[in-house]
Amino acid sequence: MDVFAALSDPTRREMLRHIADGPTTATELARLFPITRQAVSKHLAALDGAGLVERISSGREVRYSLRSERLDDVMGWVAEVGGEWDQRLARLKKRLG
Amino acid sequence: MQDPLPKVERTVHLRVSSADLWQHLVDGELASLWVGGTMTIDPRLNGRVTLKTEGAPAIFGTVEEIATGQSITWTWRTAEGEPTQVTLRLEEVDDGCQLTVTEEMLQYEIVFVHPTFA
Repeated sequence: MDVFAALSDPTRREMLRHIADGPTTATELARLFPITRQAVSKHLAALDGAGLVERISSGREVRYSLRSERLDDVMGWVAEVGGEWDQRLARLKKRLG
Repeated sequence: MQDPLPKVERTVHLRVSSADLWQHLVDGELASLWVGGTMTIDPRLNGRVTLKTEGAPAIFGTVEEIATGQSITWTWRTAEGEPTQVTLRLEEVDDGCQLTVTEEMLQYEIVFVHPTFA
């Protein structure tokens, strides 16, 4: 799953916000969301698959931390698409005034 | 943390009649003059939208909503890329028109694939 697909789900975006505050376990997240522990694990697997979180194992515990560099892809998309529209609208303004 | 859902919005003020601006949005030949590629638009619901630019993958889309003279929304994507939704909204102001462009990633459901056992 790519980063955009992973971020397209509002639950995953909300989970990512919590993870951004500090490394978190699936159990801790399950207490915060009205979904099953199994559903939390699936969302975490999607975020992991997209490279947005990193699994850190410590004994039997697995914590998830944010991999912020993947969000750079999103910022890159915004910059690229925004730049394209800036150029297009500049040409339109030049033509129409 | 900022909401990471990708979205771009731009607004430009143009000293032109709304009718003239609208033609530049929905007439493929006129749109090609400013979009930066060869643009075709069939300005009706479910009409086709294409943009072919030298050195870049072609983009294909479909008109999702249209209010003639006011706004047009289409969804488009390249063969390999993620779909996005583009809305061009036109608003008359005292000395011309204001055009607002929005392009955003679409939300779509993720399908989890579970292993099956015979």
